[in-house]
Amino acid sequence: MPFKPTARGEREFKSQEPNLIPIMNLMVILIPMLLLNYHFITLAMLNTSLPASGGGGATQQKMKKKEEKPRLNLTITITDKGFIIAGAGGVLVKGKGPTIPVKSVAPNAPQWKRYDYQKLNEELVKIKKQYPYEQDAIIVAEPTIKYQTIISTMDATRKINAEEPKEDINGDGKIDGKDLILFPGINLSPGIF
Amino acid sequence: MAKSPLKRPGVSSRKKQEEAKLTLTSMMDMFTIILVFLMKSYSTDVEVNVDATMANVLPVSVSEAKLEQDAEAIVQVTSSAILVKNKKVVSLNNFQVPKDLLDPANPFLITPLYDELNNLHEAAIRMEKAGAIVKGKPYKFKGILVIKGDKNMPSALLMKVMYTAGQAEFAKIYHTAVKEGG
Repeated sequence: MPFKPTARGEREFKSQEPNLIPIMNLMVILIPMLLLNYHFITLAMLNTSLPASGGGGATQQKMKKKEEKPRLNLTITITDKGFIIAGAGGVLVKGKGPTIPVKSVAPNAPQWKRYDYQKLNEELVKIKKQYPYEQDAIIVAEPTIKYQTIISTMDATRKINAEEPKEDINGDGKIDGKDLILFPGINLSPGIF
Repeated sequence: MAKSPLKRPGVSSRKKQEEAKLTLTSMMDMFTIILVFLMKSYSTDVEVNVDATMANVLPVSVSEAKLEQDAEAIVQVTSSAILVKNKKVVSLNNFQVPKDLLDPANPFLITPLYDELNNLHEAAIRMEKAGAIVKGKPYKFKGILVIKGDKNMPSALLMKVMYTAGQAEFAKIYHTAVKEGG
């Protein structure tokens, strides 16, 4: 028997709410798990190598290749008065005292704020222009120099810090801002004082 | 409970109660946003564990290098101790190594640290010889050591730690720093 037209219209549709409880369970588990894994600080790594006492075959071959060109033996010495830049030919001298003297800062400022890393970086760019094939640098630190000072010096030695370097000093055609490499192979060496 | 005197005795006190409903929609919205954000920042990198206290003392760097995943030893240097893989090995007195812990013939060698690192090195060599397979590849000792040091550590101590590591055949030394602005 067909429905009466009036009866058809009276049927009620109940809105069904989706059952959210299983999804909630999932969220409650996932969110704490992901929060625990969340890195609030990003870590960076800097690699250094120890001055080699005896080389393997590969290292020796590399050395031979390099020796065809005059080696620079770039050494950056961190003293309490400032940076001293030296190479195989001698020490880079600018007036009396260290090559780049310390900046004058507040007396209670931490040690690492006294050094002029920007100026060091600029000097190293000039050196890199003359020795574009040179990759290594030796950082020598006085015993009282703090770890942060060494790390910041390594940063200044590794790459060009300038926002927009104008020249392609590596000859690799890359002038893309921050990624111009200076001396990535850093050896840390204890100073003899 | 005593009945209210205002109510007439004939009227039932039981009212038809509507079922209370929780509005979960807004909470679900929030959860979904948080979940997506956290999923995006989720990384599968094996983190060199840094707790909040250590994060404050690590030096700051602009280095872009990724964390070293294959570290064979992690040496943590604080003002009061040197720890190898979270085990205290040497007690320091404000970054000073007690004289009796230094090798008398070589003032750069910290004896307990050398012993600990040498044990790790020997264990790694035994693993290598036994043909252990790590991450699907035959294990090979690479000599990678990660230093997590206090930014106030003097270079004299850093050099001692690095020299000792070098003596224990750890030649590739990585320094951990907090990324600037990270």
